[in-house]
Amino acid sequence: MNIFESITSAAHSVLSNRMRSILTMLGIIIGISAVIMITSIGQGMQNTMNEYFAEFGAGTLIVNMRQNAANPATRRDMLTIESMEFLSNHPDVSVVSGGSWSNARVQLRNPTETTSLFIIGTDENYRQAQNVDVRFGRFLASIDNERAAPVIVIDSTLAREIFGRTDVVGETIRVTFWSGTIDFNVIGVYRNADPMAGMFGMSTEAYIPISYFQRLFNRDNVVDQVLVIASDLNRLDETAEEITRLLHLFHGNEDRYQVTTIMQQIDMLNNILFMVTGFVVLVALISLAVGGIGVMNIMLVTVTERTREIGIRKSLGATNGNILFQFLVEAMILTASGGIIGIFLGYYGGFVLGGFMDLTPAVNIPTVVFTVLASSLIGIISGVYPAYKAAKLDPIVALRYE
Amino acid sequence: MIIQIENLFKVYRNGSIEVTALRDVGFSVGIGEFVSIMGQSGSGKSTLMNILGCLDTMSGGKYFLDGEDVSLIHGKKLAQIRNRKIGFVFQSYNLLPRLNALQNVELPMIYAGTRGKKRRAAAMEALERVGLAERVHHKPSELSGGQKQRVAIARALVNSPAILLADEPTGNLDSRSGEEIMSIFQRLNREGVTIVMVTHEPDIANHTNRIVAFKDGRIISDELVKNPVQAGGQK
Repeated sequence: MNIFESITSAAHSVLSNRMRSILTMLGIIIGISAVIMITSIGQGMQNTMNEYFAEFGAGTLIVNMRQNAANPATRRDMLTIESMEFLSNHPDVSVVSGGSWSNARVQLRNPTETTSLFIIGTDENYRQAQNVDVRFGRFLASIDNERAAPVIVIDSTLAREIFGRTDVVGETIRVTFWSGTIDFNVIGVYRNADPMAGMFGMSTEAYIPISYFQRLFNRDNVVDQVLVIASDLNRLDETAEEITRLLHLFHGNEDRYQVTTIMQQIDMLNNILFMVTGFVVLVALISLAVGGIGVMNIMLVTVTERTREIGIRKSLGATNGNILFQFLVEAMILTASGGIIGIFLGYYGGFVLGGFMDLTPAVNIPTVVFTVLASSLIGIISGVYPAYKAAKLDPIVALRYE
Repeated sequence: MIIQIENLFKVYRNGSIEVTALRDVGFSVGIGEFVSIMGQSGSGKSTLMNILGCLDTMSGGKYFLDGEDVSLIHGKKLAQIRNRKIGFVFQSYNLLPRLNALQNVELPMIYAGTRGKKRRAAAMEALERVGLAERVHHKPSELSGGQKQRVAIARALVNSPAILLADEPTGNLDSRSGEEIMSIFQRLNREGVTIVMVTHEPDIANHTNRIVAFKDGRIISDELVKNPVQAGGQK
């Protein structure tokens, strides 16, 4: 009995019990399509995120102050406008910017409605450090900081939400902080390229002069974060070390500042995304295992139902191996066709879901290969016990089975 | 000799209870014979049939089939013997309901490794031999009892076995269909097929050339039939 004959004969018996076969396959279909869909969405997210961060320029370094309960920061440790100026004189540094932030709410067209906003107090260099894509008007200029003017740069989505259009330079928006409500004059509108914007209920960013921000919150000259663009991309690590050394020198302290590159930040985000995707895939794999148990269950029922057939085949000269192979192939046909259907559903499901989330899913070949192998393996695992049970049947007992 | 049995015992154990189904049975069947094994239910004739068909194991004794000591053969080799040397016809036909007549007849050849056109042609030929050439694409559910049994006979013959074993082949049939089956057996026997058949009906047994009678697991008589009844109305 050759393999081709075994497959056609098994396919025949799977097809002759169509409804049952489809229901059995469903568990595999759901498991496989979930794995494909989740990984393609995860990969798609990662791709968009990487593209977005790549726009920043890989040469950006992010300086943060470290503090914890065991090692509390003092006023002297805080990053300030002066630390920024100190860094900007170094030859390894091409641009320095910095900022502080606060949550706020902005009033929409309907005066009773507001939406949340993330206010960043910063300077003119921030545009270059974060690659802000200004579409209308202008970004903050040094004069805005000198004057500490109540001006604001908002993103086009917010502009549309408030005014119903994007070119809103010269308009006034009303922003409420915990310290009070201020009317800001819109001087620029930028396009938000962040793929995560609007997702998970995250609010959009708006930029105001750092000097105005500091006055608003009584922060003197303190900034939360400093951004540095290195002059030499090939010496990023050395520059990061040099900046750390300089800051400790300037502030007269040690082990207080942390300098990370955009690349490190990307790696960190990728790791988080990978873990989240991995966890959800794990859940999907559990459902796949449950699907496998379903296949095994049905195969056991099938073997019992066809005990007499097994007896007849044995009386006609089928070996134990023939019978084992026959049922194994049947189980594998169930899981393999379930797997193939699942791959297609997962592939297109990924695009449908990606459409809602506004990102392009990326189906990677290793995942598809993995799921194909997984579904075949499930077929073997869930088929081998029922098939073994069938093969071991005593022909005379099987023939008498009613 | 096609079949030679010596000191055959079959003991069934069910817990502490032992039932001896066959005790010290010895007989032989030569090439070209048409033998019927008679006896009431429980006489051990079906047990003997299953042992002859290599479907059941024996508890003691020797069984030579076509010169081979079957008691020493197990597993794959035994399956091959069932496949090549034995053609089995059951009382309840034992056709696979999902397959049509032709596919049912092809089954033993699938396990023998015969392929493609050759297999199909041999199955067609076997079905012609039992007069079912026009019904090859019918499923068992679309055939009468007599036709089903003829498909089963074709299936038993298709690998040219050394012996045809029939266990109450007419037991589920009306007398007319039974008569048809017996006429096929007689014709096959004239063509040289060795046949051993179990029955409890003397009328059926009288169609054969020799009757071996069983009682309580022993042979009580083994006689030739002087004038076997010739079944008429061959199709």
